[in-house]
Amino acid sequence: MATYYVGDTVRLAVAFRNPANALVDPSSVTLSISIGNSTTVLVYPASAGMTRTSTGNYSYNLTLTTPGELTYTWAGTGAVAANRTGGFDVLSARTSPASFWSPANDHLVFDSLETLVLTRLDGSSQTLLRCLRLPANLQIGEAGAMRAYGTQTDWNIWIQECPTAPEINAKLTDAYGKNYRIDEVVQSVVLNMWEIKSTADAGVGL
Amino acid sequence: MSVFYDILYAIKTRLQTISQGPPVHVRKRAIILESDSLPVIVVSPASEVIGLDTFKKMAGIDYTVQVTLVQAGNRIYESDTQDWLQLRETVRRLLYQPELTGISDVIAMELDMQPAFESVVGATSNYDISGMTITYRVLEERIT
Repeated sequence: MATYYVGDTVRLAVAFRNPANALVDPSSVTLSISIGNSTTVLVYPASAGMTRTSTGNYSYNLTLTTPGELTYTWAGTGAVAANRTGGFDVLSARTSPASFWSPANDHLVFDSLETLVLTRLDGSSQTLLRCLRLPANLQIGEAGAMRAYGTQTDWNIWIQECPTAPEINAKLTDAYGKNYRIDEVVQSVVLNMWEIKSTADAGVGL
Repeated sequence: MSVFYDILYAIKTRLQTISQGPPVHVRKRAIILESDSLPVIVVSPASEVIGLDTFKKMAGIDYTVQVTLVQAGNRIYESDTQDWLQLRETVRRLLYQPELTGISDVIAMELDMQPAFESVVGATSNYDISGMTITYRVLEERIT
């Protein structure tokens, strides 16, 4: 069964043919769409959006608003009495296909969540809730004769908190006022988190 | 105290005359500490080489000092460039003098500037670093 997401627009189409395999217009055409306990019945030509593209061919563009298992039935009567049924799954959002894994229940998994402020390259800022700080690495680097320390800190940020990916070099500020510059942004395998590597500002340390 | 330490201390004293300048530290190595406030200048010994032998048991010892300026770069690439170059120039002008207070028998000096901006190699790249080395040739009498 196909899978779509809330917000997608899916084109439902049907072709009515008689026993001689010729395209024929039925006397009436209805489209029933069911998801959960809700059923909507559309009738051509009375219902908005029901379209006859050519003899025997009808279509309807359906914008998905509710997650669940969706089924639909095209029905023709009169000249061509026939039914055509189909269906697909509708998931809640592209960013969280796994409904059990969400900010609402993440405290069951993590207990070190923080609130960060993201300052983007254009200067706009955004508060990000429930960010996970991963263990930091202290690193020593060299420039000429100088040795300098610094920390690389990794974060997991829910995409639902931050729908637009943070830019490289954007700034994260933690609750202590320490700043981190973003080096790398990766979307997690299940598409629900930004996995971010950052470098602490000079002198921030651990 | 050793001649080398006297040179390091004299350089530190001279750099501390910079008006509203950063703190200056004499350290064994060119290294910054987590507790350092930035910017900071670190004066550290580099090499000590016998560069000249002369008659009458005299030798010329070349003491090379590493002076390193460090500031918080934090990926700000424009606004602090002028201040940084001004500080670097001030340090260079103060040190490019043959005389060093308290150190006698300096017969030559040489100053080599390192790149104006160096970023720390590795992920810890939020520091701006600039260095210079100053070599003083000091006359010293051999024991035998």
